[in-house]
Amino acid sequence: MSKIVKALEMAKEARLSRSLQRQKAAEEAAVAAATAARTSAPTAPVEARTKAPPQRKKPVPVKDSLGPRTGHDIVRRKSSRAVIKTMDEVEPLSREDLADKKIIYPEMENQRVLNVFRDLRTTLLTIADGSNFSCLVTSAVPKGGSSFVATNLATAFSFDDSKTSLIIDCNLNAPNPNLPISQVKVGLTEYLEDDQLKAGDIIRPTGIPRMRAVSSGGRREIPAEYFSSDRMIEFLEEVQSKFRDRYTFLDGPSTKESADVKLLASLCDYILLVVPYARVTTSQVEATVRTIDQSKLIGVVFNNEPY
Amino acid sequence: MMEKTIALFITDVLRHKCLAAMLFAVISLIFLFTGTLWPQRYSASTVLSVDETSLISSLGRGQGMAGGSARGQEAFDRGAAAEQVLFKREVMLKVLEHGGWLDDNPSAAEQEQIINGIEGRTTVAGGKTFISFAYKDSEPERTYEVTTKMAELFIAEYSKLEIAESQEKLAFINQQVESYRAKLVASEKKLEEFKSANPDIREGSERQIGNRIDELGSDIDEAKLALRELEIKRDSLTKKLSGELEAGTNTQREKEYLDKLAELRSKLDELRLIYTDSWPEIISVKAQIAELETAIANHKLVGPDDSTTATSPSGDVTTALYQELRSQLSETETEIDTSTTRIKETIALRELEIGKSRRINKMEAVLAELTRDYETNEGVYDNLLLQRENAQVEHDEKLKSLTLKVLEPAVEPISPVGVQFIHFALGGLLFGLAVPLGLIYLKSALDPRVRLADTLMEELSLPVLGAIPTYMSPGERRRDLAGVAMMYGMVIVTLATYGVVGYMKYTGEL
Repeated sequence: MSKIVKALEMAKEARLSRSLQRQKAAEEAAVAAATAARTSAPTAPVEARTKAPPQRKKPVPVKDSLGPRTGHDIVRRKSSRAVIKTMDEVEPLSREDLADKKIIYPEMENQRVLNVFRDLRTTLLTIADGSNFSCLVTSAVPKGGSSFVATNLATAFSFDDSKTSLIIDCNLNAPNPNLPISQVKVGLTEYLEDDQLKAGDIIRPTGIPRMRAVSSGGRREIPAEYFSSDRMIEFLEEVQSKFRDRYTFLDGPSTKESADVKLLASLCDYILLVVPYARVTTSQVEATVRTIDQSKLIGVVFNNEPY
Repeated sequence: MMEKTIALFITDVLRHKCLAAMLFAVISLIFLFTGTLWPQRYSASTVLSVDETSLISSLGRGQGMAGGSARGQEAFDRGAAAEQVLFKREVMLKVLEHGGWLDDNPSAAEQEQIINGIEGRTTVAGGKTFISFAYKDSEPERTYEVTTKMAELFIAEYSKLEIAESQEKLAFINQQVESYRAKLVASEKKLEEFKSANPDIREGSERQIGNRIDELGSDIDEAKLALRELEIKRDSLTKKLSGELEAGTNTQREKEYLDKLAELRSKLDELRLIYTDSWPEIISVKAQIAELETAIANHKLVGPDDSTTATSPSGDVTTALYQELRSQLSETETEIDTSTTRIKETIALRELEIGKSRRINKMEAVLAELTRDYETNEGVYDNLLLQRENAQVEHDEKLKSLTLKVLEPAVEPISPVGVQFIHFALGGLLFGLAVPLGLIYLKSALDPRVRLADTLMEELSLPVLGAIPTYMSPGERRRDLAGVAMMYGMVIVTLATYGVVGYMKYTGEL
């Protein structure tokens, strides 16, 4: 337990420093955007959502018995919701489609699954202490359910209308076929290869409100070291800092499949490990845990429990 | 924890539902099928009681037959020995005939097979006081018939064996008796021959001879002593005698002198009558008388003169003592002669006896051996005669009575023994359930992979943030339901088959 506490504390510190950085960046970006907005029409695609609240409205520190942060959150939430409402969405996915893709939706019969993901979301939020984060979801073995968990976690985050989520399919060798992405033209690999592309080109809407997805892109014969490139780092930085209420989820390959996990881990705030039921031994899990950065590992999700 | 384990197990089974159901169906139906085909076995047995003193009680113990004690072991397998008696070809052929196997006229090879089959289905066991036969067959009647027949044949065979053995024993003993009788007669003859060749050699003749030798020896010694005595006596006599002779001679001489003197004097007188003293003859006679007187006077002074004794006997000068002594001396001399001769003869006799004794010693050894021989043969012969009598008595007894009695006769079996249909049916269901469940349990027990979130928490101290239950897409669910349907279907089909076959068996159609 103490290990976890320590890890959480370290993660908290890192988080705080990063969030501060991001806030700063966000402010700067907001300033820049404001100036840009004044000069040009806001015809940009989906990314037309404007700055963080500090630019629009000065956050009034509400003196709250719960603490300054919570008050801050409430203010932020209120304002985010308004902004988020203006997001561009495509036609929502039907229930059958969602069921086929094994994606949760609030009215589903299997409330148990739904609640598990909701609880997971709450836990993550508690750990994150309110600020947004990027989380890598990986598995110990291939087809261990990391895509399922990542997608549904992102979905769970999108239920809250003050938050948005982004799921990035980083599994270049085995892309997620159930990724609820629409109008996909280019994906991550294209973006990393082509400097001309912008982040907005690859971030597509899903049929799920408030949720965006980035596909992995075309398969390449010779998989280059994509994730160690600066472009990737920048992309992630941009993605996270742009909107304070966007939660990013990286659907990573399993540690067995590729060594990219370590790279991706270094780019994220948290790591979530998915352990499928009756498919891995404890030693395999142990090995996986050793490979990835232990300080960022917030926990394990047990998947496909049959009882 | 327990509920979780059970829940886990059930989920495992459901994960493998198709396979489990198939295994169940296959195993159960195999059992059912085998059960219907399994032949029914009936068993009958009979027990014979064994008389301890009989031959068969020594069957397998290695006695009863001469030279059989080479085996000499106490532990025996009466059952195996009985089997040997029963499974002889002639006996088994009779069994075949009685059991009706020969009705189809099988070939020799087939007969052999049938016999092997029967032997395989027969159990022969033997103890100290019994022999039992147990036989299994597929028909109750035949089982009974074969069992009784086997017992019958066994008793008959065994009696034959007994009698044959007894006769053999008797013959052997007879032969031994004859041979020993011949030996006895021969040794008797030898003894007689020897005794007649050496009549003086008897029991204890050595001792006798020894005594005799001692006797003779002592005789000789005595005689020698006596001889010595006699010699001494002779010597003394001789001495005395010669003394007497001297004395006699002296006396004789004196007497002669005196006689002569008298003569001379008479002569003188005569002369004097005629002549005068101056006559020369008278003078010479006077001188002679004077000389003679002097000689007598000298003789008396001097004593006897030994040199003159030798010639005395002829003078016939005897005194009474001298005569006495002379007779004694001659007596003694005679005695000495006798003694000497006797001694010589005795010595010779003794030598003879010694020679005899040496000879006897040699012969005694031979005699002793012959005697021993004879006595031994006599003893053995007597013993054999006794044994023969016993054997004869036994043999006669045997001819009269059997030593095997049927203790428990066979009974026609009513119900089959061993594994039957119902066992197969129940066993099939049980196995059909147990095997797939067991395998699944084994698989999950041996599977080291993580099944419980607690394991992750405990062993790796990782925080488990959540456990997502199985969530299937509609397609997956459809497949799952199909599997469930198939599982139920197979179980129902199997049970239905069981029901049908069971009913048919019950009503006797199968």
